[in-house]
Amino acid sequence: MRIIYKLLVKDIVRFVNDKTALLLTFLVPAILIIIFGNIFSGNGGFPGVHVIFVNNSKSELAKTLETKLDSSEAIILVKNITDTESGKVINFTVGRAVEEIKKGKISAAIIFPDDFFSDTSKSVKIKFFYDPKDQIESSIVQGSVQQAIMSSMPDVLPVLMQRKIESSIGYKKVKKFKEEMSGVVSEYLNVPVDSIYKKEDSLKLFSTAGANTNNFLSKLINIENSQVVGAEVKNPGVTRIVGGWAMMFLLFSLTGAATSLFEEKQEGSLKRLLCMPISRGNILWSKYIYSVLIGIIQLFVLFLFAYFLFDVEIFSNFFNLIIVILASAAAAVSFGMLITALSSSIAQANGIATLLIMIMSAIGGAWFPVSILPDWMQSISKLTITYWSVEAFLQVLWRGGDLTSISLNLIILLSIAVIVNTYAIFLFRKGKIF
Amino acid sequence: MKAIEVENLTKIYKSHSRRNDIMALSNLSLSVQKGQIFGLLGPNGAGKTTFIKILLGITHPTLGTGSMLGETIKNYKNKSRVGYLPENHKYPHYLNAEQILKYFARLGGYKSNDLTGRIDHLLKIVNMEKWKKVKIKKYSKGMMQRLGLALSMVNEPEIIFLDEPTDGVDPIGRKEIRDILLKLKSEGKTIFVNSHLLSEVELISDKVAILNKGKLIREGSVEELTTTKQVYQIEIEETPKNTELFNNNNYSLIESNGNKYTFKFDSSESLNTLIDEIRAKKLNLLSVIPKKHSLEEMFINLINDNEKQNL
Repeated sequence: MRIIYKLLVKDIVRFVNDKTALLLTFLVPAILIIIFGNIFSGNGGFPGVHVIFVNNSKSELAKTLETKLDSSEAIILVKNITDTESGKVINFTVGRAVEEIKKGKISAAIIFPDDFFSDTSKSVKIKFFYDPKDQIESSIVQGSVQQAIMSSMPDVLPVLMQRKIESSIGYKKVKKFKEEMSGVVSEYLNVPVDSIYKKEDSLKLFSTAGANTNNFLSKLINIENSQVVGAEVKNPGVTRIVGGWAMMFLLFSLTGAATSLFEEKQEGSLKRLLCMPISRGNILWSKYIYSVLIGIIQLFVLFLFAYFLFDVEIFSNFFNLIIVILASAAAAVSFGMLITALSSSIAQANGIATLLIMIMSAIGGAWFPVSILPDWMQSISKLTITYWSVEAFLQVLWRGGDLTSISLNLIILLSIAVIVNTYAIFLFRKGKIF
Repeated sequence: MKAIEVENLTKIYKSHSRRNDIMALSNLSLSVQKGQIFGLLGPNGAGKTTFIKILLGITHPTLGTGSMLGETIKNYKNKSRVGYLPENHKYPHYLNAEQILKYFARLGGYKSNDLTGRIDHLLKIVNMEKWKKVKIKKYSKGMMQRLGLALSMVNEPEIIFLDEPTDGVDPIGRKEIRDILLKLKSEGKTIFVNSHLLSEVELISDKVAILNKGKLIREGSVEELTTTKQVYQIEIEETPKNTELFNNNNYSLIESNGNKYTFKFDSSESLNTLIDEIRAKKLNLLSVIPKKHSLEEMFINLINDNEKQNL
């Protein structure tokens, strides 16, 4: 152990003296986690797409939809502009909106025309002008408009349906049908028949105007939202992604630490060590322990960043978090050692490592949830270190899981560490590094 | 007692196809006596570095066995009795001489409590005591070589391997290094030198081995290797008027320079025959000197002959 300790000190001193590597190890992941954290947390993250909005309709429905679009996080309605000649703030017109799009100053405009919805309308009319240069922005705007309309369906749909029926079979037949239906529904739902149908105002039959919760539609569809997991998490966006990104950086940095054996070979210090009364096993195990230590420190620093900058709660389940960090670092280093043992040069090792890390991050859940992957890819993802590590981080940070809940992940990660590292050390004997 | 002994040492660097395999050493057997300065010579690619690497356990032989100080070369713990100055060695540039010596002394298992005293002593030997606290990145090549030499001695080893020890060192520095090696020899250390500077090796080595293409082609003392067989230079006080005495079937005149004559003889009896004739003619014989080549001349001739034989 004394020899391993001495070798360990050598690696640490070497690392600390390599200022660039030191900076990159901690600064780059920190900067990236700040960027991605801001994107996913929604705090000053994705700002939404700016879109011109012109409402020429006087209907109540148009006002309702405008309010809903105003509250959308995905789009920002731009309703007026400062005229360059007069210096006055003027509302957009359709012509001005189209002009702005043509100039490339904005990518889309939503227009509610005069005939958007009238007393006799059988449909809602919306005009959407856009520049297809940015397909994603157009999709976001169209999606937001559709979402606003769909959420207003309880207001609009019954009216439109009633008008369609009345124009097809006649007002009297519809009135008779409604009176009979109201009786049946009243009996079935045990509500006063007046709340369903009033003779003086037939439009209230299926209407929810005024968000009247006593109307029968709201009684028929009563959706109660209830978040089961993560409701108490302060910053769900960052908490969900921090483990995945941390794991990706860890794999990159620890592979670098393992492949530093090539650098030591090139600069001659490895040959010098081999001439000392120490075994190759000592050299490799000290490199392994050093890399695991660096990994633990790096992950800890990353989570501290997440704690101070994004309120990610790491101390409420700190012990389990440290255990997952340890197991993840141990597995990640074994991966780096294997890559080094299989390669014949540092360039080769870095190339293979980059490729595998990207694949593991993509299918292992570091970038997006594994659940959105095809079934076959989900099966493969279970073969990656990233999957078991990310799942364990989520369990600890998101669900506040205890040691039992992460035991399978820990067993698998530590098994990977032992098996892969033992195999790597076996390969080193035949490899080109010595 | 033998400090180093190898038998039938063979090293093949394998490639994907057998045709491209490289035979770095082929059935090499040699030994180095304790307390000797042993010079290993050979052209580039002869297998010298591979041989040292095998002895130091940096690489493993394909076939054959070896021992150092009575222990098999497979025993890595035995390396605490060995010092090594690698060729083109580099050390972490952020350390100074004292730190690097201390680190490798501890790593090598140096147990004395007076490590600082030992380091000061070594730095004095290699004339580097003023640079003890200066970071290595400020060292010249010659200083690096001196530090490397100090490092190879730090654990008080019994055998010291030196790969190109005077590389990059100025003539005064080379003389100092030669003196250090001779002093180490006087202390009973065994020194194994691998060098291209044959004049350096010639000056200090007790025994020399020459490798070519992985094979041992000559081994012996510098004296044995540089002495040309049956060729002598004979100096006579006066130039003989009648040169008939130089015509004999048992010897022939190769070269004459004033009153110095170089002869090649069939045997040692022929030399005595010539000496008898000179005396019979009442000529005053001043000296009889065996003709020598320099080690470099011998080396070049030997390698050329070996190449011709291999054609």
